[in-house]
Amino acid sequence: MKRCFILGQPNSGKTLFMINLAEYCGLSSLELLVTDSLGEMKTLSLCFEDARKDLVDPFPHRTLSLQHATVPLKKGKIKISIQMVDTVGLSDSLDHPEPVRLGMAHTLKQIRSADIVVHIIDAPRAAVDLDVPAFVDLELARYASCKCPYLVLANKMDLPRASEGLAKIKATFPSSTVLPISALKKRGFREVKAHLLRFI
Amino acid sequence: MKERQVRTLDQILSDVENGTIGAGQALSLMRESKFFTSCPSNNKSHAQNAPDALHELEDLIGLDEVKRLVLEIRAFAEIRRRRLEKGLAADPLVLHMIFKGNPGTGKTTVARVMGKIFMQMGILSKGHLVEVERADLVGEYIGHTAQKTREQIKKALGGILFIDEAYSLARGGEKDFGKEAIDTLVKAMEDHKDELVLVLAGYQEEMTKFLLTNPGLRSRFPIHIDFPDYSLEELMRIAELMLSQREYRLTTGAREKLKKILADKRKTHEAETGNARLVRNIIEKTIRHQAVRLLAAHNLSKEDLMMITEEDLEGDGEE
Ligand SMILES: Nc1nc2c(ncn2[C@@H]2O[C@H](COP(=O)(O)OP(=O)(O)OP(=O)(O)O)[C@@H](O)[C@H]2O)c(=O)[nH]1
Ligand SMILES: [Mg+2]
Repeated sequence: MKRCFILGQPNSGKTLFMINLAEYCGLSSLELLVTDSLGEMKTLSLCFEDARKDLVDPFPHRTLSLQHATVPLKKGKIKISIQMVDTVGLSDSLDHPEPVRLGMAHTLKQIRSADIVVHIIDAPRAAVDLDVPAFVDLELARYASCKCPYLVLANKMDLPRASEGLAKIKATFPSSTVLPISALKKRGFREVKAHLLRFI
Repeated sequence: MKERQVRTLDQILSDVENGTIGAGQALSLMRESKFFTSCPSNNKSHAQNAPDALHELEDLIGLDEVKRLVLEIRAFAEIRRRRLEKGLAADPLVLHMIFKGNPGTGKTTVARVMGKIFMQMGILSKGHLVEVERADLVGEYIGHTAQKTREQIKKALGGILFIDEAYSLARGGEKDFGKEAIDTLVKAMEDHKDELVLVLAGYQEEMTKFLLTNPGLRSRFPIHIDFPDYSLEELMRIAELMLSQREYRLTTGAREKLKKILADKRKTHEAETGNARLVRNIIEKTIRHQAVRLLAAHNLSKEDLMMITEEDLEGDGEE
């Protein structure tokens, strides 16, 4: 099964994207395999309501471990599954608390096993924040686009000024595919799915 | 100019863990060490996802010097290739190596992974490992040795010929057939320059002596790698890795006890102290003990089946 890493800055919407994509693809609940930098491993079984409540947060660095979910994608009559991996937000800042630093290192180590990379960027933030896309976004794009099939998702398109941000993101990554989505409203998911299927 | 050192993945990640570099910087260094430099912009021809042998090397515990050296060799080979492309002069790529260190310090494992790496880089056509010792090379009568040695060389073409305890070839003195094996090897190194990598391995001291008495050999092996004994902390990480691969876990008490067993071992056994094989033996025995302990119990949970407790570890780990 192909493994798709969901990467990006903290708070860009990675976790919500994974949960809602799983729901969109017809799963009735979320089965997560959670692994961390200490080698601990556990499984979580949640209904989507609880998953959004427990795993998504308005403050950055809610996710500190890798969360794997198997998501079915349909290609005509054929069912193909993909493993989506939600990750620890990557940032350039040096003064994170230790769990965040360990989590980022763990994520970076595991990226090597990615077959596909989906890079999520907060579009409305890109519109107002000079530093978004940040250095880490540029480097992520350079790393991932050489390594495997790679997709940029401009997220939170339901919010004001998002289209300004989208334009900026497109200009920053002229040679990558940039898809506008709203993880919250499940908008743009059909296109994302189509692209993922093409990569498999 | 500040000297630029290749950074191994371990170093990059520990810099992130310590907060010395950020994620963007880390990604940039990771890309550099992979030569993801001249990247196709069209998303079509990426470094496809054949399981990367470099990951295998990166995932080995410890072995910092080895890892750095492999990255240097990769860099050198890659730049050499690009120079040749542009019609520039390039030194030949000579990759014959001397591995010095105690048994169980990772020599064979590293040689095997290096073979795969060289294969993926296009330096070797097959990248397989043929592991031999004196008895595989040295024969009983004149001519027999050359024939036996040539056979092994033939098997190793396109890959790595790994000679363990190589100094035993010089053991019997001038009249010994071992000398014939060495001569045959030297000739093969000339004849098959681009299709054979030779690795001579063995204990530190014996190896050094061997090379001193065979100066001709020494000059043909430009790469020397020391395999230090594993530290106690590395042995513990090896143990935990072996266990987690088998889906076992240590209780806190068991972890403490294992650490003590390994620490005691390191004090007593000279050449075997930093030894991954020792760890493997202890682990395998411990797993058997756990099985015996559990057989007597009822209603075992998944947790019970995974947990290694203090009592599963023997006081001294001795047979
Ligand atoms: N309006 C809107 N809000 C969103 C969208 N996607 C995510 N959010 C909100 O953004 C915040 C962060 O979402 P998460 O999914 O936790 O982000 P993350 O990237 O996983 O963050 P970390 O785990 O902290 O790195 C939450 O408050 C989400 O509700 C979106 O499409 N629209
Ligand atoms: Mg998250």
